[in-house]
Amino acid sequence: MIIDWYTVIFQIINFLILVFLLRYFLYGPIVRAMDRREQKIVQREEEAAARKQEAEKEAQAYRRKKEELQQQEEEIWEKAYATAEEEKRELLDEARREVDETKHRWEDAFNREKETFIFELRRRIGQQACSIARRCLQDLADSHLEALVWDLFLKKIDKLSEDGQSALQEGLAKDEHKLVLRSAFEAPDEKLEQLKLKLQEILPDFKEDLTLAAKTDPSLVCGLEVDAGGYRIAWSVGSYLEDIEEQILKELEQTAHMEHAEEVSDRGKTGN
Amino acid sequence: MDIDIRTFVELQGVPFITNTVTTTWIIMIVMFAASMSVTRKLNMIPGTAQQIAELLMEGIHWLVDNTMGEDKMNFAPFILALSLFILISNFMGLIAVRHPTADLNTTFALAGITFLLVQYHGLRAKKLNYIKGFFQPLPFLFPLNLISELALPISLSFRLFGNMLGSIVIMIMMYMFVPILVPIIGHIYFDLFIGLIQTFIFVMLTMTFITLAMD
Repeated sequence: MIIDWYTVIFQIINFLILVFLLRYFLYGPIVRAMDRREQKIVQREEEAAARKQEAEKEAQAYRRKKEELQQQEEEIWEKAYATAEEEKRELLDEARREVDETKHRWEDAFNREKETFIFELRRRIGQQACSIARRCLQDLADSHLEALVWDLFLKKIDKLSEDGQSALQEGLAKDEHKLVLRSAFEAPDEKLEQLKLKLQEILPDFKEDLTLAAKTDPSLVCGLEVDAGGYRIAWSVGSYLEDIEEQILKELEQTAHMEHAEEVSDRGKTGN
Repeated sequence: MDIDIRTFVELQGVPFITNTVTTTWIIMIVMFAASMSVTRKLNMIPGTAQQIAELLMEGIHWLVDNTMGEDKMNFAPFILALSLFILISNFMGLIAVRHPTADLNTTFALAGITFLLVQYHGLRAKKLNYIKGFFQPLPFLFPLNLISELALPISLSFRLFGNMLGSIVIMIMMYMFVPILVPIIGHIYFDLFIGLIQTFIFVMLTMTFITLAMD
């Protein structure tokens, strides 16, 4: 077999054409497509990496936020515990204070009750003592004592001051010249006449039409009382007894006040 | 299948267009049509044909990368064309068509192109040193070196041509003596296996010679 140069040249040309065709219609497009895909994959990988990085950043941020929130939560809890503890202490203190106050109030009330009771007891004892004295005087009263009381009463009218006289006149004018005599025992007529004459002496304006009405009142212990339109002239042991009773009660009150003041100062010293 | 080459057109008594040339044209048309059909619509998610094409490209890239180096990846289209052309030509026996590679003119043309590429890239890469290489290790060895260099296309072309022509001769004999079933085994061995091996050898030697000339 000899070399046929036409065929050789044809085959060289054919092969070169084939190389050209495959280069531009197979190799090139396929390689470009592969490169494009590779680039896309790389791009997607880069995007995925970037997103992953972003996600990691966000996750880190969330983690940080979560930690901050946990820290805040702990702080809030601690604060709440502290506040609750403080409140508990305050409430306990308040409760203790209230108990103490209630106790003091109760003690005060008890003491007041006690003082009131003691005061009342003392007052009653005083009254009882006066009442016993009054009863004793009533029991002891007789005609001689009555005569002495009348004398004393008539002297009192005789020595009536000018103010008393004018007040008596005003009372008579108000009560239609009517006088009421109240006595612990029945007044004898002669004593009534003496009283009338005495009054006419000191009240000459009412000499003609002065009327005197006598009434018996056992509450006036060994006493006499003239009433003219609300103005009174009286003398009785009862009034003395009332004065004594008044004095006793005054004394009792003063003693109670002093005791209370002493108690308050004692409490101030002990701090309660 | 004939052992002789048929001439369709003669020019001044010399064969101008032979069945080798026409078969080559058919192969070229088929390859071009197949390429167009695959690359007409390339998708990001490849179909079966695109996957095969991409697999082929990756295989060629892998081969060039491992044999020649990554810096010689621009030879990949040439290697692709060479591989596909020789492989399809070798497989032509399966459809009872005479292999274009069983014609010395074809193998000589391919080896000639390889020879020219080797010389061109050798000169381009090494410049004067490449010529000096012919006088190495001693200047008087130049004739031997020259013969050795010229033997490259001859050995390449005759190896492929001889194997393919031998395949045809054996297959003709097989059809003559045992025409039933046995030729199938013959086709599998001579057309597929030998065809594949010879393609691989031709392509590997081409890549090796170019690399040796350049490095």
